Amino acid sequence: MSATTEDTELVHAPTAHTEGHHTSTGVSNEKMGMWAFLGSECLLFGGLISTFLLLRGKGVVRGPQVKDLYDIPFTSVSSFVLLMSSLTMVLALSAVQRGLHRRARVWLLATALFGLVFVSGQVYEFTTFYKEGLGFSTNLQSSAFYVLTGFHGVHVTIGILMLISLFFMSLRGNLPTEKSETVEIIGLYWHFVDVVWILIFTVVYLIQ
Amino acid sequence: MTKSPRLRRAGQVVLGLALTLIVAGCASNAPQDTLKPEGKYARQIDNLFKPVFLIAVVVFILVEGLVLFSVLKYRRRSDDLDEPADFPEQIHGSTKLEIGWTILPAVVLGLVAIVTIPVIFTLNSHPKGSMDITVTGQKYWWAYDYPTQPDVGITKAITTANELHIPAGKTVYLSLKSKDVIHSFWAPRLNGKRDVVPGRVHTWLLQADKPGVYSGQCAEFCGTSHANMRLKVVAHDPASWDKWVATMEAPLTKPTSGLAAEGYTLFQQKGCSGCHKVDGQWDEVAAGNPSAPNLTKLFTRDCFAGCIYNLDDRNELEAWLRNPQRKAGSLMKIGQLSEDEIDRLYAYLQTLK
Amino acid sequence: MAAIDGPLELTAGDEIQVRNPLGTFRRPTATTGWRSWFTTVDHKKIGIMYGASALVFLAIGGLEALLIRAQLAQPNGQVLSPEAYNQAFTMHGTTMVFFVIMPLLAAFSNYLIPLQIGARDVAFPRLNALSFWIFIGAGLFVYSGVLMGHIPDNGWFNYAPNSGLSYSPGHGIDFWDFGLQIAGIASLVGAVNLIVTCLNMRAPGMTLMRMPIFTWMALVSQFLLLFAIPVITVALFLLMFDRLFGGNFFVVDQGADPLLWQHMFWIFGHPEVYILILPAFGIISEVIPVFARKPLFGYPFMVFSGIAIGFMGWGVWAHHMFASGAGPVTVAAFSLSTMFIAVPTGVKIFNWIGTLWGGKLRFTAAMMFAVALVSQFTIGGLSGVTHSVAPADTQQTDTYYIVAHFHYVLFGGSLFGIFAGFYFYWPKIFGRFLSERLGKLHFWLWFIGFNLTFGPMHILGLQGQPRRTSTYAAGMGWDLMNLLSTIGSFIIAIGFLVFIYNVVASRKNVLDNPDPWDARTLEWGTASPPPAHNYDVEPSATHLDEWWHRKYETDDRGKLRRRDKIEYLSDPNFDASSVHLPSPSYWPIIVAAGLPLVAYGLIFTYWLAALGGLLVVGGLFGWGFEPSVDPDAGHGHDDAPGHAPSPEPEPVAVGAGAEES
Repeated sequence: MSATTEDTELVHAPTAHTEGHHTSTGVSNEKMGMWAFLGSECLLFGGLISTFLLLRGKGVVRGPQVKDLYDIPFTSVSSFVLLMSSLTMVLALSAVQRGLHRRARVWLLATALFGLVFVSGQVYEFTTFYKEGLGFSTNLQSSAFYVLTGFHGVHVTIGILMLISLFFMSLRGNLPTEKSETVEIIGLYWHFVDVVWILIFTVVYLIQ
Repeated sequence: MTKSPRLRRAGQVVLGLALTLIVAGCASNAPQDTLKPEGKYARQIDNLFKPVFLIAVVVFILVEGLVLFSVLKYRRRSDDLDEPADFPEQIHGSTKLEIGWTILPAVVLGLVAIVTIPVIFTLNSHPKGSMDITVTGQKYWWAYDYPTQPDVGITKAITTANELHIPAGKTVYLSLKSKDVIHSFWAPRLNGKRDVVPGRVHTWLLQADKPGVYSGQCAEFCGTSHANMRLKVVAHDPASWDKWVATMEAPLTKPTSGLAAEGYTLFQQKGCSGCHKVDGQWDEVAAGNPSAPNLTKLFTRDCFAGCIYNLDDRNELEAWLRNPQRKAGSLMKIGQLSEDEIDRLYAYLQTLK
Repeated sequence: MAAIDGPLELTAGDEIQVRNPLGTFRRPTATTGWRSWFTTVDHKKIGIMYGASALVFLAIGGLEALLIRAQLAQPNGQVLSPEAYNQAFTMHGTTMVFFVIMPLLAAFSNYLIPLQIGARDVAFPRLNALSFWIFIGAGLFVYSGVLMGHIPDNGWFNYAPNSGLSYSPGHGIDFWDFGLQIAGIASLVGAVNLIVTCLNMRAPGMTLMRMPIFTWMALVSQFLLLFAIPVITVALFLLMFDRLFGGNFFVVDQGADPLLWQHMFWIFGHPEVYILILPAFGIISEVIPVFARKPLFGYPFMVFSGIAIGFMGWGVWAHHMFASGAGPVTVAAFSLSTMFIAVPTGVKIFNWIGTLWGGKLRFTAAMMFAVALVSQFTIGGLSGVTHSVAPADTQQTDTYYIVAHFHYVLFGGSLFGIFAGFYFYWPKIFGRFLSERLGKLHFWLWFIGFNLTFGPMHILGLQGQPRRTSTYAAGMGWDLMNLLSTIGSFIIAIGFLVFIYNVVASRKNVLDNPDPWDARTLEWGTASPPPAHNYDVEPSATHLDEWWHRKYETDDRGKLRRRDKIEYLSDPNFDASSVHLPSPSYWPIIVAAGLPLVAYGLIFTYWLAALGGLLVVGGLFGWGFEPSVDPDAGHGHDDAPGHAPSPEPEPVAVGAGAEES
C-alpha cells in the first residue's frame, strides 16, 4: 500500500477535493468514504440484529407474538423485488458507464420503483400487524421487530431519495459517463442495504 | 538551565509525600478495608491481590526508575551547544529488546493468569452444606429472607432488614434479587461484591471467620440515596446465633394497654401497615405500594433506613417519623404527625422485639 | 437520522450549473474576518475551533469536578444535595469524555494529519466542518438542558433500568441520550473523513510506514470510532424508544434484561478508552524524540503495538462487568484478554524509555508533560493489571481505586499528552510561544495537584470507599485522604488558570523561526502558522521523519551535519493564486443546526422536529448540488500575501524560496 508515484500536476491540481486527483491508494476518496461508512453500518445493524436475537423468546407474553403474524409468502415476494433492484442497479451503472443515458435513467427509475414497492410492502405489513393488535409497545419482541425492520426501511427510503436525485441529475445532463462513479458509490450503498435485508429476512422471518 | 538540584528536590518532596500518604492510609482504621480480610473468600481474593500488587510495585519501581534515571542522566548539559556533532547516537531501535519486552511481560502475566482462574471458579461455586439466605436490594435498603433450614436451627422462615445475621465460620450462599434497579451487595471484609440485577437471581458467597460486625454498602449506583444504602453483617458465635434465631422466631405479643396499644392502632390509621409488615399483627400490605422493611423484631436491630441511622438513639427514629425525607429519595410517605402521635408510634415500635 | 448518509456527499464537479441551489443565499466567499469562521472548511481553522471549544468545556467539567471534591472534602458534606451531587458527577464524566478529551484529540487530528502527511486539507473539507458544528451542537444541546433544569443524574454509564422512565422521569436523561447520539454522528463523520484522509491524501512517497506516529495513532483511533460509535448509537436509540415512544427494551417488568445495556455500553466504552488515549500516545511520541534529539525508538513496534491495542481493545469489554454476574467462564476469558492487552501497552512504555535513553533531553514544558505521561500512565496501566485479576476486581470495581485508575489513564495520560501537544504545537498553530516559565509552573501545579488528587484515591478504594456516593460517614477512615484529594483538585484548577493566563499572554511572544524546536516531521517545514494552502508545492517524502532528513545529512565519515541549504516548504512571497482550495460553505452549519432541533422536537413538540428535519434534508440536498470548489471564486483569493486570516498572525518569514523537489 505505498503511495502512487505518478506525477500530479504540481501547481494547479492538488486541491483537496477534485475528481481525477490521484489518491495514494488509487481508490477515490468518495468510494473509500462509502466503504468506511458501510463498515460502520455493519456494526449498527449488527447491534440491532443482536438485540432482536437476544430478546427472542424473552419477555412477558402479552398480545400477539410477532412470529405468529409473519406472512412469509408476502414478505418473500417483497424481498425478491428488493433483490431484483440490485440487478437493475448494476444495469443502471453499466449503462452510465457506456454512455447510454436514456437506458440508465430507465434502470435508475426501475431500481427506485422496486425499492418503493419494498417500502410499501413494509408499510402494509406494519399496518396489518398493528391491526392484529401488535403495537410498538405491546411486548419486547414487537419493539425489537419494529425498530430493526423500520430502521432498515429508513435506509431503503434514503436510498430511493438518492436514486431519484440521480435520475433528475441525469435528466438535466449532469450525470455524464465521467461521473459514473457517483452511481457506483450509491450502488454500493444500495447493494449493502439489500444484503442486510437478506440477513434480516433470514434471521428474523425464516429461522424461528 | 541547571535543573538538577531543583528536580531532585522536587522528586524527594514527591516521594516523601507519597510515602507519608501510604503510611497514613494504612495506619488508619477503616471498617471496610479490603486489605484486611476476615473471611475465607475475602482472604482468597487478598492472597491473589497482594502478590499481583507486589509485581505491579516491582514493575513500577523498574519503569519509574528507568524514567527517573534517564531524566537525570541524559539531561542536556548547559555547555551543550546543540550542534549536530554533539547529537546523541541516532539509534532507531532494537528488535532484540522489543522481543524481550514483549515476551517477558507476557510470561509474567501468564503466571498471574494461572493463579487467577481457579479463584474465579471458587467464588462462583456452590459449596456443599452452605446456608441459604435471599438478599433483596431495593431503593435504598436491604431485605433478608432466611428459609427454613434445620441444620442451622432455623425452623421457621425469618425476615429482617439491613443487618444480615450469620453464624461465624459457616459458609453462606446468598441469592441476590432486586425489586427495582441494579444494586451491588458488598461486605468488603467477607468477600468482593456482586451486582443485584432485577429480573435475575445472582448468587454469592459469604463467610466470616470470627464473630463480629462487618460493615458494607451498596456498590452500584442506584439513584438519589445510593450513598445511604449501607448494610451490616453480624457474625455470631454458636450460642448467640441460637439466641438470635430463637428471638426472631418467637411470636410477638400484641400491646393491650397504654401508649403502645394506642400506637398499635395509629400504625394502621397512619397507613404504616399499608407497606410495613409485622408478622402476626399486620400481615397484609396493600398491592402496588412500595416495598418497605418488615418491622417484626425491629428493636433487635441496631440501625434502620439503609443502616444510616442508629436505632439506639430515640431522637433518630423520632426525627425519621417527623420527616422520612431527611434521607433523600426515601420512598416512605407519612403525613405530618403530632409529637403525641410520634410518642405513641414509638411506644408501639418498641414492643417489636 | 437523515444525517447518517453524510458520507454520501456527492462530488459534483464544475459541470453543475446550479449556483444558488435553493435560491436562498449566495455562497460565502470570505476567508477572513470573524464571519469566515462559521463557513470555513479549512482543517486548521476547524482544528482551532475544536480546541478552543473543548477548553471551554474543560473549564465547565473542571468546575463540576471541584463541586464533587468540595462535597467530599469532609464526611457528611453539605455542599451539594444528593440530587445535585449525582447531577454533578454525571455531567463531569459526560463532559470530560465526550466534550473535552474527544474534541481535543479531534483538534489535534484535524490540524495535524493533513500537515503531517503533506496534504492541503482533509479528504472531505465540508464534512470536516460538519463534524465540528455537529459536535458544538451536541455540547450546546446537552448544556441547554442543564440550563433548563433537565440535568441527567444517572452517571455517564447510565445503566438500565435506572435510566428508564419509571426511575428517571423528567427530561435529563433524554437530553443526555440525544446529546450523545448527535455527538456520535459528529465522531462518525469525522472518522470516515480522517480515515480516508490518512489512506488517500498522503503526499508522494509518504508510505504508510513513513507516516508520522501521531497520524498513525490517530488513524487507529478513528478506526475504533468508526466501529464503536454505531454500537452505542444502537443502545442510545433503544433507550430513546423506551423513554419517548413506549419501547420495552430495558423495561424489566416486560422481561427485559438490564445487562443488554451494559454489554452494548461497554462494547463501545472500552474501545472508547483507547480512542481517548492512543492519539495522546501519538502526541508524546512526536514530542519526546524532538527533545531527546533522537529518533523514536522502535517506530514499527510503536505502530504495530498501537494496532494491536486497537484490535485487542474489542475483546476486553466485559472486564467492566466482573461483578455483574456473568458466569465464571466468561469472567475467566475476559480476565485473560485484559491481562494480555497490557503487553502492547508495555511495549509502548519501554519504547519511550528507549527513546529517552542516551538522548540529550531538553526539558521544555512540552517535554515535561510528555515524560509525566509516561510515568503516570504506567501507574494507571499497572493498577489496570490488578483489575484484570477478576476476583480482586470484585473488591475494587465501583470503588475509588477504579476512579484513581482511570484518572491516571485519562488525566495523567490523555490530558497530560494533550497539554504536551499544546506547548509543543502552539508555535506551529499560532506563530506564538507559550511562555516556558509559566508552562513549567503549570506543569508542576498539575503534576503535584494531579497526584495529590488521585494518588490518595487508590488508598480510599482499597479501604472500601465506593464511588458515586454523595457522602460518607465519619469513622470510616476516609477523612484524611478525601481532604488531601480535594486540596489537590484545587491545585489543578490553579494550574489551569495559569495555562489560560499563558495563552492570553502569549500574544507578545512572536516566533522568529517557523521550526523553533528543530523538529522532525513535515509540518515544521512550512510557515508557522501555515498558510491556508499548507504547502506551496505538494511535498514528497523519502524518509520517516522527512523534515529532519531535509535538514540533516550524514557526511562521508558517517558524521551527522546540518545541510548547507534548507528549503522551507512555503514562502510568504508565493503566489497562491494558482492553488485551488475548497471554498467555504454555509451547508455544514445549517445541516448541523437541524440535529439539535430534531432532538428538542422529539422531546417537547414535534413541529420543531419537523423543522429540524427539513433543515437537515434541505441542507444535505443543497450540499449535494454545491461543488466543493466554487467555480465563481477567483483563484487563491485567500492566499494573497498580506491577506492572511486576521485573527492569526502573519506567517513567519521563511528561508529560501520553495522549489519543486
